[in-house]
Amino acid sequence: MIYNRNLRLDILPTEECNFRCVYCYENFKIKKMDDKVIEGIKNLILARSKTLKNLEINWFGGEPMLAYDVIKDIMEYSKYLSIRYNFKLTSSMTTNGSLLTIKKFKELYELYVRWFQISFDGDKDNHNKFRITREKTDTFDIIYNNILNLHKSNINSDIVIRLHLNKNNYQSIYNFIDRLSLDIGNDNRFKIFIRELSRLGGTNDKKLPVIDNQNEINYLLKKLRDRIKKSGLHIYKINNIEMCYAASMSQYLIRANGYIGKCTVALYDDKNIIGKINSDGTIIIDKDKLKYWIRGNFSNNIGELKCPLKYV
Amino acid sequence: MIDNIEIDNYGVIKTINEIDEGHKIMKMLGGCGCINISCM
Repeated sequence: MIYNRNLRLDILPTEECNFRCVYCYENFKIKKMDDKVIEGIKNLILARSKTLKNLEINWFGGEPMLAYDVIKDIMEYSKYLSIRYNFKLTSSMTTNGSLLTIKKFKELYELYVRWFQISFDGDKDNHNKFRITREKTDTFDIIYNNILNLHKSNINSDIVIRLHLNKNNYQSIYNFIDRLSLDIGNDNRFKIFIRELSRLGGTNDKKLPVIDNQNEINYLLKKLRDRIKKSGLHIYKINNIEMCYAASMSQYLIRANGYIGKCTVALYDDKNIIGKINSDGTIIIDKDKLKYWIRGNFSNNIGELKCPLKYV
Repeated sequence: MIDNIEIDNYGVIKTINEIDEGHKIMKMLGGCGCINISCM
């Protein structure tokens, strides 16, 4: 079997961020992607174009919108190739939402970037304690206004609003749901996704108000999801058994410095540096390291497919 | 079984086995259900 019809690229066009969220696990040391790596990605897609049926490009960071020109460059070329070679192109972005003006939402829509994930940590009071700018200023109003502007527009992009539940923000999330309900109503371009706050390896991990009791997490999440439904908002649904993209045979993570990996969380784990992309589009892969990530495809072990990193 | 893979210069994986069970399960479930860091 040859896995050449689908290609998923998770691209970090920069690892710098204009935010310094309290729970972030990234170190922001690698800056914007340079021209050789951009050229390499474009040449890789070109080389794969003839056999591709589906190309999925997911933008991650850092804050990807800080490297907007990189995104435009790669998406314009991918769009051109998708028309020339007749493959399906889809694209998404995980962003803090601060730089998503209506003009950029429109431009990105035209380039097939039509799915966005934007996080909040509750209503204004709590959010601004957790998600602050690099200069330590508040972020709620700017993100929320960008979301409201999209709501008022006719741009048909999908937005997943991701909420992080912690020990102290249940009421604040509840209030935020009410705010969203009033402002957005049943606009089905917006879906709500709630998840408990986790320790993902950041420098503040020990200080984070993470809820440790799984029963308590389940109870609170259920109450909030019920509130979302009653409010007329839409819940973002994912598969009951989540299979991680990092276990896929047709996915690669491309770092801003050209390193190839699999997982967007364990960025600083040596297991997650499996190769490098060259400017001609060829990629050098350490086969043994790759095998570790995709082993679930051969072992028939759900745990290894669900999270190949955790399941050791 | 996992020894039987080859990778070309553009990251395309080739396996000897026509059907491997794990991948079959993944496909049945509609592929990757994660949205970025939610898998953790």
